[in-house]
Amino acid sequence: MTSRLVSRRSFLTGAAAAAGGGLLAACAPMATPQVVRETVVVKETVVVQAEPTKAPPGSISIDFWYIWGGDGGKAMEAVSAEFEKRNPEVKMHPLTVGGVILDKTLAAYAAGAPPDICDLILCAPLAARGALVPIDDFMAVTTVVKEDNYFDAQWDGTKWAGRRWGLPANEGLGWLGLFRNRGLVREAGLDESQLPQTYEELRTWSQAITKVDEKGAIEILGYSPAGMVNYPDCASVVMGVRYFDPDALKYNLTDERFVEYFYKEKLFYDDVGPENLADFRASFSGQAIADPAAAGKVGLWTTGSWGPGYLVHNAAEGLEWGVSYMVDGAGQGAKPFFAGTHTMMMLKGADVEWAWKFLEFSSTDEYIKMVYDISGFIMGTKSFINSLDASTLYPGLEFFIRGLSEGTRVWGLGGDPNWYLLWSEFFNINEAVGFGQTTPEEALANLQKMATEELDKLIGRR
Amino acid sequence: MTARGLNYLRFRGAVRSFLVMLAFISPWLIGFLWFFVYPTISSLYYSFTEYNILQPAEWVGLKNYIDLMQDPRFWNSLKNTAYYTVFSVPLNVFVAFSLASVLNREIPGRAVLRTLVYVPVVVPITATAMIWMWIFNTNWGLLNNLLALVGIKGPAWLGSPSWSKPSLILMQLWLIGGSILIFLAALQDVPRVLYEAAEVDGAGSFQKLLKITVPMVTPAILFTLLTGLIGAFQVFASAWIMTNGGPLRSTEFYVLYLYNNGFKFFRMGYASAMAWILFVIVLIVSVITFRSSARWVYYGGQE
Repeated sequence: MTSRLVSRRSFLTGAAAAAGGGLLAACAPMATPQVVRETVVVKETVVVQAEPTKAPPGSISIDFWYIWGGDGGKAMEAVSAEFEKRNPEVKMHPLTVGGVILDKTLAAYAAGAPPDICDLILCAPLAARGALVPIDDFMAVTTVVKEDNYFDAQWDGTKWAGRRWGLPANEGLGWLGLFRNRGLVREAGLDESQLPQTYEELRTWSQAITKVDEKGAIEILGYSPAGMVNYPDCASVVMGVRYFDPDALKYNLTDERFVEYFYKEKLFYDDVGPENLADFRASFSGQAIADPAAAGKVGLWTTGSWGPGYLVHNAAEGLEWGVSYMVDGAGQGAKPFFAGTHTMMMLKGADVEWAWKFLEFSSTDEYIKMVYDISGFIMGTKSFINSLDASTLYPGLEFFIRGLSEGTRVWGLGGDPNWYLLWSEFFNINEAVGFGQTTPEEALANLQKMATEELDKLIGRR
Repeated sequence: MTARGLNYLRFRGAVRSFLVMLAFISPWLIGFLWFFVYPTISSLYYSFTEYNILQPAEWVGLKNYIDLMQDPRFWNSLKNTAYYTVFSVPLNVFVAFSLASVLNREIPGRAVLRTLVYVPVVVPITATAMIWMWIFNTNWGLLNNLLALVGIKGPAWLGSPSWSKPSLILMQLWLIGGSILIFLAALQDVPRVLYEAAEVDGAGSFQKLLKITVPMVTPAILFTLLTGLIGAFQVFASAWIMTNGGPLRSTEFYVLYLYNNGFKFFRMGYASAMAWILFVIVLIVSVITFRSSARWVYYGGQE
């Protein structure tokens, strides 16, 4: 009998080859379904099954990505666990992605491994680029999702090219309220029963509240001109003019009302000096209370339905606040309100039917109540809002609940495929105009040109 | 055996050795090809395309490059990066060299100090950024409180468009531990006999520094200058975390704008073109620095 010894050299050679092979295998694309890309005009027909096929326990894997950490993240984990309990064949993979959710989703998509469900702000940017599945066919057969249980404006953020691409979920209550520090308002001798209705009145209030020291440094800021109103959609509803027409596919940024909007906002920079304002804002970075409004140093500011809960948990002791409609920049006496929404969207993951089933679950009052109990987020479905006891809510939150039905100009996200670009630019224009670096006319003309070019690229007009 | 047969065996042995060598380096080689060469070539291709990641790339020729030349945000980011590079790199080299000179002397606690200067390098950049946001705080920050002790009202470091870049340049000094180590090694390599000879000739401390120390460590200066230049052109994390490009886009550095184009504005083709322009800029600056080194860098082996 002969024995064959493996020499050290042969062993190492084999090991190196195996390591190389292993690395090659690791670099191979994952066994995910091939991503099918669409053009703007959607031709794909989704085959809808009334019930997903049964499978062994835990064999269906659903990746669910969302922005929130903390209590919001815990709520998402809880609803995922509940969904697993109800559907043993499903294994949910919830993941807090934070502020880089778009970046991560794009990278995952490019790598061929997108999540099955992703909770972004609106659908149009990804739907217009063929990354989502439309839900119209699912909606046609669903017995769970009730279309009229949502306010019309909440659906806006799910639309693109005449179709719907997701469900409003988790934070659908409202983005725009004018918060006031009641202590500072009273101290300035202002009458809370006569809240500001116009930009002129807002400025009068701001000037009455503002306090500066002998060197010009701001001690108390009357109105902060860099709040939620700077979102292009919120500025739109305040000025009564939409910045984007999703049906005509046209931007309307050079409208004189947007020019007027930035000039109105600039006045608040002028009143205290832009450098002083920047100094004031920066001085709160890294503090225990990093937000000057929560620290009780701002009289009036704009933020969304998360504001009351945030203030309860983060504000300086003794801070009292109230919330009202943002002033009507159009001067029509309207009550502008914005039905902000985080929208759950389905990407082209492996199990579209099961992803849809989770979306259906997200529309139920049981799901919404779980999220509310853990995080305080209120999904703005009519049935859930009606079930709430207003006396148990965070102070000021009731405004956002009423706003959806009582606001007289209630708009939603405008289905803009270039929304992220516009969002970034709007904040910058506000600041640049405030510092006198540019004029609204010039900045908006440039933005109109840039946005139109991006849109043209997308829809292949050129 | 014939000569031909011998040659064949030699050739076969050489091929076998080559294949064995390839097998041994394959983990690195595959990683290099897959994670470096492939993305590099891909980005060059994408720079000539309209590519938004989600849809197939469409060839547009030089359009991205032409559009970039007309994009004020591109020029602003380039200007911000140039400012940062011009001031931060020489400052880093100067401070690192100065500190290394101090740490090269017989001072009490030298070993501890040498360790301490390197500690910030191993701290994650996010933690460093958070600490410096606190240090730079206008009203309650450490820096302005120290300035107030000597009667100076500190500026809005991160809040003012005029001070935001200098603030980040200042913060960068926190991370020069690596350069200090390199200078320390270089300083310890300077032959003592040169100093002794200079002392015999009556040279003072400043003359010894200027005529012996600096020339002898010029290779280390060249190295830190080059790596510093390359790093400065790619500055990203501190601005992303601390200012997100603001205020007034005064800290929107080149790579930050590139990143936003690629992963926020769906313009990966445009971002790829930016990457290649940056590559060319860094290449030119590096070549100029290398070429100039013949005039001012001294290598011991030279004539």
